[in-house]
Amino acid sequence: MINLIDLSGLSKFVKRFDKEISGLASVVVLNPNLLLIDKYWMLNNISKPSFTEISSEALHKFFLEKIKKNEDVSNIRCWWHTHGRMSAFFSSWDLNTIEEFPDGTDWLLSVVFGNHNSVEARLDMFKPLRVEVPVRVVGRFLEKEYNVIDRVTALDVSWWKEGSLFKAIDGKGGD
Amino acid sequence: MERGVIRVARKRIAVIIKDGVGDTKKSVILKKGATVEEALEAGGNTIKDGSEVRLNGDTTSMSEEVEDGDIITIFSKISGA
Repeated sequence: MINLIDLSGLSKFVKRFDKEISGLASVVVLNPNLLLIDKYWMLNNISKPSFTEISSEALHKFFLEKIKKNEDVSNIRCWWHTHGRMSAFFSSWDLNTIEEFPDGTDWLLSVVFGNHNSVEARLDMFKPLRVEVPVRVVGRFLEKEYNVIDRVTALDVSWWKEGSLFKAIDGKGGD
Repeated sequence: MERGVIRVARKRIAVIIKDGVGDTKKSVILKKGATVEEALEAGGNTIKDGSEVRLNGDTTSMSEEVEDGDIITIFSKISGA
């Protein structure tokens, strides 16, 4: 099972909205079973109670600016969106969107946030094989800011053996 | 005195292609005067229905000529419901 932790504050951010919003996020592959959401960007052009959309124009501009600045965009491979006042689940529309990502996309992490702190995540690999993998969102989502080095250092300590994930990260103990 | 033949090296250009999300950015080397289509062929990029190709952020055609340092991006809208 692949586990996912949000270190970006995204889960706190999305609680401000009761309409659907969406964006992209960068993902750090800490090990084959553990992914971290590192940064997020809200990019939607349309936000309605039950629909959200990021236009292709917004995506072109977003990536073009980053490439021009020579920023690393290889980790930006998470599509996130919210379900407003509904629970978190991947609708048939959402699943169709995942299938329609451009042909170059190798793998994609998708996260949907719903009401009552519900969250669902999945990983879709398109190349070299088409694989769909459920992703477990572990613990509560952290809301504290860390830089990447601090995070990796914290996660490299003995918490894994002890089985206490968040104790090592924020010193407060985890779920 | 016989004049020698002056050989002019064919100029090459480099174009960046970003196709979807993830580790998908690549640089392709092309002959000067190459088109968007030739750049995509060189990069091994295929275009899905619904995906849009842009050159330096602007809409373009496959026959548009690319220049050194150009950036081709390939994306489709992303919607959730």
